[in-house]
Amino acid sequence: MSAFFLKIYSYRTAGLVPLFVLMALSCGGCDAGANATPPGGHGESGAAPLVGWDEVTAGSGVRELAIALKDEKCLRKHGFRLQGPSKELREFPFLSHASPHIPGLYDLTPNEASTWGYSLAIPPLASEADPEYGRAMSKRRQALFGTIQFGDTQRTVKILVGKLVVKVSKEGCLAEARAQIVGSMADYLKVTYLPQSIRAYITAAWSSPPVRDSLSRYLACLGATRKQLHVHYPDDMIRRVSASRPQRESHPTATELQLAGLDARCRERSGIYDAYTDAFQEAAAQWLADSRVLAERVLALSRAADVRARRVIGNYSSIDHASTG
Amino acid sequence: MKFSKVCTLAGGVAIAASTLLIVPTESAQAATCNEANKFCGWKDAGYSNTRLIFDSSPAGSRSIFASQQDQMSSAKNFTNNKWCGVDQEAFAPDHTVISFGPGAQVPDLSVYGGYVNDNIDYFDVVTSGGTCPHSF
Repeated sequence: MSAFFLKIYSYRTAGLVPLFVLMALSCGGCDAGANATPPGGHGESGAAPLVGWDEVTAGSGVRELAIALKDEKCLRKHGFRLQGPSKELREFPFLSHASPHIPGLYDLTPNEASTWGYSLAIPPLASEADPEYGRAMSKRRQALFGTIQFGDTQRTVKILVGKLVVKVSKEGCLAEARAQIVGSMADYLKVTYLPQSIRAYITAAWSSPPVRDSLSRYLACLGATRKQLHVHYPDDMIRRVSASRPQRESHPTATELQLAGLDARCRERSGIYDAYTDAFQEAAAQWLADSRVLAERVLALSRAADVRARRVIGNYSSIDHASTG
Repeated sequence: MKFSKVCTLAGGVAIAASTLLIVPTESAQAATCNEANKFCGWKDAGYSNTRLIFDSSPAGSRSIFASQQDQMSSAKNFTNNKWCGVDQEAFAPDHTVISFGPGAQVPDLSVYGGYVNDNIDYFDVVTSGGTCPHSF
């Protein structure tokens, strides 16, 4: 992890500290919090204040890392290991979802663009630590790995998201790890799949007249750059420009800083972010009203799972990067 | 092919540090998906009709249907990565409509609404704890 990456993360997360410091600061309350809400219990669900859709739908890098650590411990007992998670997730799990990011549009400000380019806009957790691990196995060993990891895939637990059925195996190392961190496999499915239904409102938000007007102003503001980079929506700029980066961790080039600056100024002048946010918030408020009981349950489960996850990560304080990352 | 697809492909879009993999479509009827390290998607509900995708692309990749985008109706993910199903359309930017975590089996996308069923154009593959590039 480069010093540059640390700087940009700290900027976005208002001076966030590395994991070991976070753990030291938060472990005082870990045990009490974890014990107060038993796995699958209802200790916090009634009292959890509902802040908003964004908190309900937020993922958790801490939770995912704790599941990965538990999963990996189980796999190692059977002679396997996990090809992920990435080094970034291991070192900075709380950063994977740290940026407030309304789905469908990144909040790029002129200040951020002029200093960091698109460094923060690029998702940091894209690659596996060892992508060839599973593929290098024989077919027979791959099958054994699948059985150890996923168990009997016909023996499942399921959840209904509206009418959608999502099933996962209730056996295997992964199921055990998820249940230990989130409480049960049913609860894991709730926190993972129920929030996804909010994505139905992205198209509606983009189709609203105020957003289309702002989009027209934004594209006009870009001038010739729009055609040169085939930009149809603001985040196209991020994808086009960042695709030419040799590494996400590298410093932005002068060209990137210039383009990001233009992009951010046009976003600001066109009012595209505010227009889109208003349209999406309106749709999301309806989603929250329709899903209130489930959303409150998801939030309570997520909070309890994060407390457990921090305790688990604390127990793995001597994470062996050399052997696993 | 929708208007925005033409534009996006012409623009040479690529996620950062990714490889782009075009996945062949199988003509075999109701092919199974009982292999570890594979993501599978079928044309019809109940894992039936043509298997459109049978892939083990690594995290950081984009997995694109060779043909028959906008047709997938059921899927199983027996990889250890998260598969982010992305919709390309004319009136919104590319966006993830559903993500399949490791071990997920979804027998019928049609009941989830038209924005998911027969609407996925490609997948961005990220680690299980990663964030879908076109989503939150």
